[in-house]
Amino acid sequence: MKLVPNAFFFLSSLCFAIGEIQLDMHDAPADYDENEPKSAYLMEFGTQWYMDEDIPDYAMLISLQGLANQSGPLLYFVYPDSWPWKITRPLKEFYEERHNFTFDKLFTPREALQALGSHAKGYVVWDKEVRTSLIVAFTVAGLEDAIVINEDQIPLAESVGLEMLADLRGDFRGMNDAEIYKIAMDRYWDQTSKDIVIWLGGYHNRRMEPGIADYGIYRGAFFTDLSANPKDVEELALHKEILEDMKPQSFVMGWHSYGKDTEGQHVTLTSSYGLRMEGLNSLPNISFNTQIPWTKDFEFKNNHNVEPDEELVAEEKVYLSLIQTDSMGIGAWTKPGRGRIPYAWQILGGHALKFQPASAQYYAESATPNDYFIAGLTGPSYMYPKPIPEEHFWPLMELNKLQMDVLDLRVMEIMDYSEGNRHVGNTDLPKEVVDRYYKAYPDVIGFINGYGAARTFDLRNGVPMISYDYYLGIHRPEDQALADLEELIALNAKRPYFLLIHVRESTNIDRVANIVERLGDEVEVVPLDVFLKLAASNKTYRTRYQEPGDPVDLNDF
Amino acid sequence: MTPDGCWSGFVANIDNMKPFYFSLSLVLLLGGLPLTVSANEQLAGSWVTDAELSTPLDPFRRVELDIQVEGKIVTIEETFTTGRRNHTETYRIDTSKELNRVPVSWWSANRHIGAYIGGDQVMKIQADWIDEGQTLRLKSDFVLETSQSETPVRTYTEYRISRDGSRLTKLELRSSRNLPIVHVFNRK
Repeated sequence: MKLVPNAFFFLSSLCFAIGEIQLDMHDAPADYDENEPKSAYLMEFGTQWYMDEDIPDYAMLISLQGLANQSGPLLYFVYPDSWPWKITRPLKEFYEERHNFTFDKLFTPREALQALGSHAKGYVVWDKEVRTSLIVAFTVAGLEDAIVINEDQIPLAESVGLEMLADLRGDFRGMNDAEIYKIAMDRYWDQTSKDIVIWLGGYHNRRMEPGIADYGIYRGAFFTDLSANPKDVEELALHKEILEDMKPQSFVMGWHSYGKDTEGQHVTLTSSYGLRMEGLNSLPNISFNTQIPWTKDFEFKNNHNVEPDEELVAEEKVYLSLIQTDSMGIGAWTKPGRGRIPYAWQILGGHALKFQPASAQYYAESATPNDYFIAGLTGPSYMYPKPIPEEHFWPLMELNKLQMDVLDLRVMEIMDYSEGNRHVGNTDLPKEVVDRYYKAYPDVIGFINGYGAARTFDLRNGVPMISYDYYLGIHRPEDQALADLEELIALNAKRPYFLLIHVRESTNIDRVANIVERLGDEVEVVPLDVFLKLAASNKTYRTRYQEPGDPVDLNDF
Repeated sequence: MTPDGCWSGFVANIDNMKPFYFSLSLVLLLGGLPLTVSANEQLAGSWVTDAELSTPLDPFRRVELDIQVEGKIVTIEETFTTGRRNHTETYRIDTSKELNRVPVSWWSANRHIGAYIGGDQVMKIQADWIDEGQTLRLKSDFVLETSQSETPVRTYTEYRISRDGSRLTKLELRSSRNLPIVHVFNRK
């Protein structure tokens, strides 16, 4: 059974549509009651995610999760502390406390199959000799309601009464990925979802982290890790064939393959089709999380420090503000020091409203007064603005504005790696793209641009567009980071100076606070909304857009 | 030669030498060491950073130098690499000139900060050999563009070759930065 997405029950009376643009919402039924007692199964995963370690068991369990959760939120996994997404355990506790869940713990694959195997119609066998056959098997699983197993697990599957529905052993031996995916597309593409496609990339070769696979199976999606690298001519052609066939503004979920191409290449390509990238391949429990809405008593409220029409006046000092991006789930939210200094956090609308609403509620309710949320990235999902065709740009931004309204967000963050990244090339915006953003977002209090340092700056009608002036990497030694900031302050001698810092994902806040506190009394750390209002009051930065002579690195395109 | 080797024999016999023969021996001996005339040519070659001994290279993982020394002309190709991306900047310097004007497409020294090559995108470089040719010294003036303005910046840089020619140390002081930058390279 496939659940039909429903709007938030408590928001259902509100109109979340402009023309044909509608919010993508979670899958909770309209009569969902958080107080009603609910039971689900829980398993804890270990750390052995190599193909010759526990991947066969994990893959089978994740496929079982996707099938079982088609009948409601029945199976939840707690991932290890080393997993990229850090809140599977706190979110489980949140479900217990706020949604009246009771979890029965399962300890072995056999226990899991005995408890939930009836949700599968059978099994598909992937070929231990061909890693890519497991990715293909996930596609088969969603279409045939099958768990994925290798030949060693057949006795286990049959011991709970499951029958073989498909056998991929021997189908792909000696083939490259382009040949394998061509066969998979011929067999399955017409039957799979055109609303969502799964890029099961990330680690390559011996390791796999298929956390997102449950959701792909739950939605009957096609799975692949085709390359976006122009050097991989055949794979790129198939890649484009898939993207061309997707519905407008639909989702590409998962992540590119670290072994084949770059993030810049992949997201540039998805953006060029106006499609929405939602990472990562390791994203856990989405088939469960998407069925749990916000509680009735919850409304997403941001910690605004200024009113939208309020005017502030900057003094002659250095104003510093910090933004943590890369999505909150893989960030520093659970790490030491949160609340010690003002911090802005990028929140992804798709995650907050559709894929894991409870995580957004968890973040919002555990926010301190120093935590401020902003919208990103570029649009309603992770995209790059320069490659988005204009006909896709406007509906995407309308959709994003709907998300921002529900999430009480007033700052829009933009990132573009289509012509470079934080190392080479540029991450700047030409004037016509900046014009589009100002036109699309008349109600924001400011725009942020960049990832590493960038140099797109503007101020129109009291709304600044500020680029990051500093990128604080995870491993940058504190003394070097301090010297970097002192150098920036020396090079930008006018006061006020507005110094915006991007803090890379898992950097903990205590470390950041230790660095900025050494900068002296001339520097004031302020919340991002205050920073933007101050930056609007005294424009000591120069208007600049991407210029024809700026360095460009085209990702081999 | 004594059983302890040539140096022991040399020292033991010094007292018996006439001054002329001592001087001649010393000249012949020093002539065999890689000093003076050929020292600056030791800078030539391919070098790769030793990250353990260097000021952090991030956001790059590796810096390589390809250096050619042809008489008074020194050409330094500096390649920064991270993952699949890299960038090469080339500096061609004439050590006999009072001032070299070297076009720079990209300021690579610190990609964490919002500072870019500005002005006419040229570095004005004075270069000379010091320490009997063991060290190439550069004094550079250029302009950095930041969000607010353009600022003149100067750097003092030394490329020092180890005595055995296997290691290159690049020391840099920048007028805008409080900490020195030290990159240590091993010969490829």
